[in-house]
Amino acid sequence: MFDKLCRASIISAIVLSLGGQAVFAEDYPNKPIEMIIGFKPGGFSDAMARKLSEPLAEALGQPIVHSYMGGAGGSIAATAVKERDPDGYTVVVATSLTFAFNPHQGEVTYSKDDYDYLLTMARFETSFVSLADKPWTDLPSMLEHAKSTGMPLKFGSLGPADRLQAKAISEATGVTIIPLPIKGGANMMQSILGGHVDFGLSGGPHIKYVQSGEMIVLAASGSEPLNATPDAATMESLGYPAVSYNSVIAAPKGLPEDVKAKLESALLEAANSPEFQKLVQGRHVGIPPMGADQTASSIDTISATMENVIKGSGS
Amino acid sequence: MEALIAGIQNATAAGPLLAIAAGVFVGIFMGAVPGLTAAMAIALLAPLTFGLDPLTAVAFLIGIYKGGTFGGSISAILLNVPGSPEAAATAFDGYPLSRSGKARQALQMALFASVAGAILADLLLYLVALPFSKIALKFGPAELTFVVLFAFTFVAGLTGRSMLRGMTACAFGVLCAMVGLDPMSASPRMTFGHVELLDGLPLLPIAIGMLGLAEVMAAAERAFDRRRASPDTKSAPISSSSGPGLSLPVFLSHWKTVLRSSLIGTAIGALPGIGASLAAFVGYGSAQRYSKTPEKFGQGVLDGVAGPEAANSAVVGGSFVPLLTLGIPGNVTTALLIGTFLVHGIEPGPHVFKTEPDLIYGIFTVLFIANFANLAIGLMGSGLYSHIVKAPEYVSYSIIGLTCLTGVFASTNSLFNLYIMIIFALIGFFMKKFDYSFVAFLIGFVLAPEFEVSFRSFLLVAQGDLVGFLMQRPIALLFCMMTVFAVVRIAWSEHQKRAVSSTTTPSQSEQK
Repeated sequence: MFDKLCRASIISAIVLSLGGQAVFAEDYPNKPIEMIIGFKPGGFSDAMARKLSEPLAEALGQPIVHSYMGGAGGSIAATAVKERDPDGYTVVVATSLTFAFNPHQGEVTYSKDDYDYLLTMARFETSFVSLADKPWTDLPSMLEHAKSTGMPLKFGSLGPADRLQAKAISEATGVTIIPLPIKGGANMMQSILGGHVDFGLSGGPHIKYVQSGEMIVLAASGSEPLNATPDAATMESLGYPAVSYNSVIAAPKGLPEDVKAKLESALLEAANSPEFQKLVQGRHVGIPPMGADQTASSIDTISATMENVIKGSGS
Repeated sequence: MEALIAGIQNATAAGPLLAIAAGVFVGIFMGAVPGLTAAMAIALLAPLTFGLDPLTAVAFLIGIYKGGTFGGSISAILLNVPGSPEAAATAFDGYPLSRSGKARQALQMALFASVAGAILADLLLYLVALPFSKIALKFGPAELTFVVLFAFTFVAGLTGRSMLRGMTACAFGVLCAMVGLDPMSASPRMTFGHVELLDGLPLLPIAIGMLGLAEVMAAAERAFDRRRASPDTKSAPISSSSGPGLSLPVFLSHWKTVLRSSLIGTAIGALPGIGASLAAFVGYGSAQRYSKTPEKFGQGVLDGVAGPEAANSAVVGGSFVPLLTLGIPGNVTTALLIGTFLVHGIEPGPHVFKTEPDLIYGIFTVLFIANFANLAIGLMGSGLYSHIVKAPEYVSYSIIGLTCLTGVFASTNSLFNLYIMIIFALIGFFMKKFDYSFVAFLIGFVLAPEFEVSFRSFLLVAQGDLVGFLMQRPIALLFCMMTVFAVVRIAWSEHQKRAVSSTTTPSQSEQK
């Protein structure tokens, strides 16, 4: 009797555990998924994440819970997510620079290899812009002008990555570029309109000024053409280091293959949904969403570019 | 003119009026609860307005913005816990007033000064928005350097009784502001390997720690001393009464402070990148500077509440100048408002005045009406909240302590900031004990980052020729001369004070 019972329980235990194993991926997700947003609530990254979550929750059949860990360009959120279990129940919303550039700065405790990349949902219209009434029309003619007049160029910088780009330009052409740190896109517009900088980096607020004819785009900061001003040259086509500012979703490294596949396809489906596309295209940041492999390779490319610039400039 | 009338008509319809009242109510509540801010309320509630017509949506959000700016002062005055960063300066005199049984007066002074400051700023917005926006564009690194330097002179009087200790505290504030990424080279400074510190030390946890939690510790110490002296004393309330309300003549007698702070607030609001917290500190500093009894500041004077409150509320109107005329948001809240405008198909900028004048005048009217909604809803509440001070100390201070902790955690979702608050509560406690002014500390902390970025940019742009560069910038030169003048004046009055105090008995100034 006891023997039978014992055997039965052992068998059932084996069956249960096997079943549990087998059921895991089938079963995923069986509880809410936490989406950690690496920015303060209310910004455009937050708006995108929230919009994406509606179709995502539908596709996965589980609610998406948002928490905010803003600061240090997404690095605070990325640091926290690295420590989480790679079970598919935690994802982080950050930018390509969070993963591809910030680790080169040396102060964060993660590297780009600590994550499984899942989705690139949008690309910011990050570009070098200046006033339209300057004696130049694009980046090369501005540099030519600066060379011929010997005038140093005042450059409005939003962060260390664009300063490295400016440094690379300066080293390649011999033009003196003075980077001035400016906090946020709105202040950048003020500085450009007020003539306090000759050109500056902008992630989107310049578009309406370009459309009204007050500003021009000198070059796209990345390797892909822009949506609002597709004719502008890219940094890559001009032969300078390119940095694309993408909105990226990642998870801690080591997701089970089937969980990763399921999550990736749900994210892609959500990013392709009409309501999400309406939001991003309205703000000129829409791109065909990129899945796991494409996102990972774009992160690798940007990371390698920045590494070369840092090595080249000796800092 | 037609557009003006149409705008007023649109704004006084039932929808916008209800939206304003609801917004103000939500705003006051969010502002008063430490950790929740108006900006957060707008971020959370903006999506709810997407289905409304543009003016009603904007009316709701403006109501939140205005209500939230006043709301922060409620907890600052009653609990010494600033509900929002810009209310930190209000606590300096607001809380001592509560302790001395004048909670209602202080609350109503904050309300009246807020409303008066906001009305004045809205009027100025109405009259000078367009010309001023042109001037504001001229403010580059050189100008901002001297504006901030000039702001420093306003607060030089806030160093407490000892100039040396005040300066030490201020320098410590500046040092704390240096934590984080270097704005030029992006190399981390004093972060000790903590990613959380890359963005610098956050203002709200520090202000709440130094003011709120440090006060809880001081109260615990007082209670301990009392018990030791006579073991069966009962815990007393913060104050035995909340006192009478503020009468209109008394308020009007403070018109100079209110007017001065309103102008300061409007100007600072219209300038790019300088926030409401800085305006409040400068408003407080200037109120003290021009007061007949500057030595009483910090012990509970109504001017010390009116100064910062009029200034931080005037910032709201001021910040609409660049928002509406250039489409440039001056702070987080207005950036969120722009997002809402865009959703409704409005692109703020110079052309809006031509393409949608009805809407612009409607917004102007909404701004105005929101002030009166703020006044009405604020008055209804002030009698009620002020009873908080009559709760026994062990009740109120337990709640204050808890509010400090939950408030800091709720605002950032981060345990790290909680530790920062506790550390600065300890620092604040000992600064108070050894008479180092935490006001001076906070001012150094708030002003230093602005000054650093502007000054270093100024140095770079000037390319070594500071004087030559300055000569080409009349506005910067003007502020530079005003700064020099102010410094000379302060030095001269200090000198005279010494001369006077050396002839009178020194015991008076030593009294606590």
